[in-house]
Amino acid sequence: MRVTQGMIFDSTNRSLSTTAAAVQSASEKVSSTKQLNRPSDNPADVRAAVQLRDALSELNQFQRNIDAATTKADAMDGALASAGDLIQRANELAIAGGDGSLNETDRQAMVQEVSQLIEAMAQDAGTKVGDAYVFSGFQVNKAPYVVTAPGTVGTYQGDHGVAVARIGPGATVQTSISGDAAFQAAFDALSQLKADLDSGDVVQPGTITKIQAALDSNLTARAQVGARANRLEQAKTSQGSLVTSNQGLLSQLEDADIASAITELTKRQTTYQATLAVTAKVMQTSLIDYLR
Amino acid sequence: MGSPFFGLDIGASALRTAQQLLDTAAHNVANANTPGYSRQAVTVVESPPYSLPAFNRTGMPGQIGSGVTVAAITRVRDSFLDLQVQVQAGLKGDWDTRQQQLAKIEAIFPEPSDAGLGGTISKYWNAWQDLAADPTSAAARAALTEQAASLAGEINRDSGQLGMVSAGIDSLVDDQVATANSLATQIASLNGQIMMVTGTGGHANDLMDQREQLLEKLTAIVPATVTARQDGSVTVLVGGTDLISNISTRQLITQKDASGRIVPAWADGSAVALQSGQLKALLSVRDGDLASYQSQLDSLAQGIADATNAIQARGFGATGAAGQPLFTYRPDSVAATLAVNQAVAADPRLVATSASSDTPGDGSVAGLMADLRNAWSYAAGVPGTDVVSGSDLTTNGTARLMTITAGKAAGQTWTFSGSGSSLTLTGADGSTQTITVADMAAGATQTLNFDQLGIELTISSTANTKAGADLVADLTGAGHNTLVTASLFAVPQTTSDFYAGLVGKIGTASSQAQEIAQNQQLVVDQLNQRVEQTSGVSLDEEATDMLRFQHAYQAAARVITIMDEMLNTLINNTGLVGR
Repeated sequence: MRVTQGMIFDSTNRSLSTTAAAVQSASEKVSSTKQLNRPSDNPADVRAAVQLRDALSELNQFQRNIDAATTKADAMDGALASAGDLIQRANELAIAGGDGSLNETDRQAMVQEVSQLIEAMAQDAGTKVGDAYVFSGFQVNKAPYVVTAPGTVGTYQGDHGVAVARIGPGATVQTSISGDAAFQAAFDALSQLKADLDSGDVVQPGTITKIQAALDSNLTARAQVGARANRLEQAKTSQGSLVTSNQGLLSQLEDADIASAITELTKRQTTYQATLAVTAKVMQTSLIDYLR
Repeated sequence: MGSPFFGLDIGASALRTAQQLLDTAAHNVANANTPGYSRQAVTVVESPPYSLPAFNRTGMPGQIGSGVTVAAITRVRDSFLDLQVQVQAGLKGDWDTRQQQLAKIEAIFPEPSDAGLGGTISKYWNAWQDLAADPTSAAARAALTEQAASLAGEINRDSGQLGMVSAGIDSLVDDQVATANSLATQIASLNGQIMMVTGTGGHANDLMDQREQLLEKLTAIVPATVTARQDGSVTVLVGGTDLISNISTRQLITQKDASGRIVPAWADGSAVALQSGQLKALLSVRDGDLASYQSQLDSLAQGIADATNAIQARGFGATGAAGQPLFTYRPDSVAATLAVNQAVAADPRLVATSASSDTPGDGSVAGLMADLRNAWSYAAGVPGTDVVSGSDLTTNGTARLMTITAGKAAGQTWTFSGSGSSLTLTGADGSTQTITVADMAAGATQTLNFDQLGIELTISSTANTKAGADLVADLTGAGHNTLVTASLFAVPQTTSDFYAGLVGKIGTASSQAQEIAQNQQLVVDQLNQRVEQTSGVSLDEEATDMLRFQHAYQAAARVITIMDEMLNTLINNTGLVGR
């Protein structure tokens, strides 16, 4: 076969540019730490990665949703606990006032206290997260119970809207409890107690039953909120592990194996240097060098 | 017996020939690195011998050699290889161009990363989630409109960049056609010069080299069939029409086709048939790949915008006003003109989040928006927002259609009917399925799965228990008994699937072009090696030749010297006897 200088130059040039390109792509992998740097790097994997990224972004959003719902549940729990204490206190007052041994002054003092309890309870019912009243159903810009006169609240201002939080793919959890379900019985019982005390009568047994019922409905509401908080926490944990496993999956698709990428880079650099060295040697010799 | 001066002539012919050989070697060395140069070889023959006129030839040689002469200087070239180079150059030009243009397109979609459109779409859905969780938050509303604007902006930008690649191709088509014309003119002019040399019996080596080079360039642009003719000229056909014949060329022009795209044509306006080459690659990327990506981007934009607007229309904003379209666009170029409705952008309170006008805390419509992320289709036209009859609204709470997942059933109108707690859904095509609706507690949700029809509805009851029969009555009541489903995309799939599919297609096209361009490069390299093997100048070879010819030249000079000495003897030292 006839070999000309042109052939040697061409093939050397070609192998130099091929090895240089190989070094470049290996070093891109190392410096970006990604094996997918553009759609053509591996179209099928890139496609999967794009979908996985959206799924991950949604999972992270679910976590945000869970956090927001948890904040709301915590606020509700606090308000309901405080309302429970108030009802408990009312219960004590009812028992103390029930034996008819109180004088008018004591009685009026108790009326005052019950009024305070009612107003405090209205305040609990008016708990807000952000700008939104949590016990007003969808009427979040209206306080559920408004104190119309000292120791007296108006009717429930909210509605029965059911708010839900999206806590997973297709999974929702209810985040609202309407104010009348949580507080109406308590307001009714406390108003009754106040009326009993105010009228100078002994506290009616029916009133005590009502207070007990109010306590029950308070506990039911708290149990509901507690159950939700549990569900939210579970969801958070399971979403968290989903996030972790998806991130692992994404990393497998997108991230370069640094150790092997660096090995690859070194290998290609060595090839490149060898090509350069050989080129320098081969290019020097020609018959011209030996003619005088 | 010949003349004593005859030997001088022979020596002179040897000198001339050796000189010519050396000159040709010098020419070869000089052009060793000239692209397209083929080494030249000198054909050396003996000069015609002649016979001495004589009556008889006893004792005399019959013919006398008269020295050496140069018969021809030809180039060493394999014309079969030239044909192959022309064909392969066309294919290489084709795939190189395709790969370059697709790489530009690929750069518009930098996936997988947070910077691409995929991330923007995800953030858009997330913004709806935030708003669903807290519909009264002004910040979440503002964030949503911002996110919608950045989604529209990103789609506009991507579409604009696709348009720029397309416009770039238009101007490249113009350039390529101009280059092809100029090459054709040069080749035709070389044809003329070569025909003149050939006509006088010569070999137009260097001119032919030049023409070969121009032909290779031409075939890289347009698929040309090159036929060599006896007179030394070449005829070049493009798609069966002669571009070059003898010394005349037919000019190519560019013109706009019906849809305003720049296309090449013959001067008389007829179309040019292109099977390969850069020009064909440019046209096929622009009219095939690019147009398809652009239309898919349009579909993506329209899918998101239509679904968003349809669901917005079912809800109410923070001011209690009915939902307005969130996105606006011009139907003939959706991706380029997608924008956030200015009224909504100016007042984010108009973003519909609630199912009724007086429930600011209700984020259910925002929730439906967020659910679109994983939906194939959406209920496009449920008359009324709630699936209950009016009298129930105040006393009984509302049952509300929450989500609809309609796989194959998109784009149809469906009618509810039924009695008791059994509910029947009937499509326009007569397909039908009956299911039983269960009683529902307050706040509960229920999935009505018409699995044979591929439709799933989720309904919720907001406050009070509703019996299954009541729900059926609600769903079949006047004004509520039809359901129109629309698909986000022609092939049922989620937004994320659709976008990932688009990116996948772009990546596949680009990686395929890269691979084939690389292989084609190898083929062309191989061919060039073979051409070089035949026609390339070897400096070692030329150096050896020069040594040889130098010796020949020296020997010829020596011959002349000897002849000279012989004549000297004859002229100066003869006839002096007795002097």
